[in-house]
Amino acid sequence: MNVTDVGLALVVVEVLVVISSLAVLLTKDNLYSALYLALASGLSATALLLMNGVLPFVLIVMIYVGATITITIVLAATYRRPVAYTGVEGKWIGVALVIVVLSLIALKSVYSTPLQPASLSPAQLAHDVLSSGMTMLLILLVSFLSMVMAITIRYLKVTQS
Amino acid sequence: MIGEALSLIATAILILSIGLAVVINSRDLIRLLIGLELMFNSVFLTTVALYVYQPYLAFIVVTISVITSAAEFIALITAILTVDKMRRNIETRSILAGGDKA
Repeated sequence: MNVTDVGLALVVVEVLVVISSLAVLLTKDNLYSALYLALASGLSATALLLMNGVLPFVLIVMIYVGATITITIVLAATYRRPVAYTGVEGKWIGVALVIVVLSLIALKSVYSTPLQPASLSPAQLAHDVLSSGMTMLLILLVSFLSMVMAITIRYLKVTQS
Repeated sequence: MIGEALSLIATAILILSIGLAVVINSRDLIRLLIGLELMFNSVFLTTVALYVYQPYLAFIVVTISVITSAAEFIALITAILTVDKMRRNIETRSILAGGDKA
């Protein structure tokens, strides 16, 4: 896949992500909203895959989409009940446009360099991640997992009481 | 290729705004959770541009984001179950700052 094809594929993926996100906003049923969220998340991971990011793609699809959002879908289906919605307020559109314009002006120096798929292979990235220089990342992972376990114990106490 | 990083960042900001709108317009806690997870998508889109230049750093950012979202999800599902048990509904209008009842 050459550079032009990657650019075109990126634009297509971005358009699909925006459409899916708008569907999340405009759908009144929480179950369908969660399903559109899963679609948008998978497409975001696909954008990483286009840049040769196989490992982040697998991480997002397996843990974020495969576990977190799947449980969100189950939760939305469990609590599915008729809720009266009054429609979407439109005041946020102006604020969002101002934020977009200001962010683009502030980040002009960032996007002035052309993009190309990363030259680092997934095997090299995995070797770098698992090498001995990753002590800080491992400490972070253990800390976050400890937090997850603490919240899980709290969750079990709530559900069992 | 100059505009691709621009379009990625603009798309990420747009999705962040849409997620914020979902959170603002949420009538129950499930929709609130969906909006927060949508905002995490903008982080993943931002790492696409970062991955081109710093794949190592981008992978660390993605890893920490995924684990943070999982922890946030567990905290929120605990809160949803607690609110449902206490108030017998999960609508956000019954909750004020600090969890006080209106």
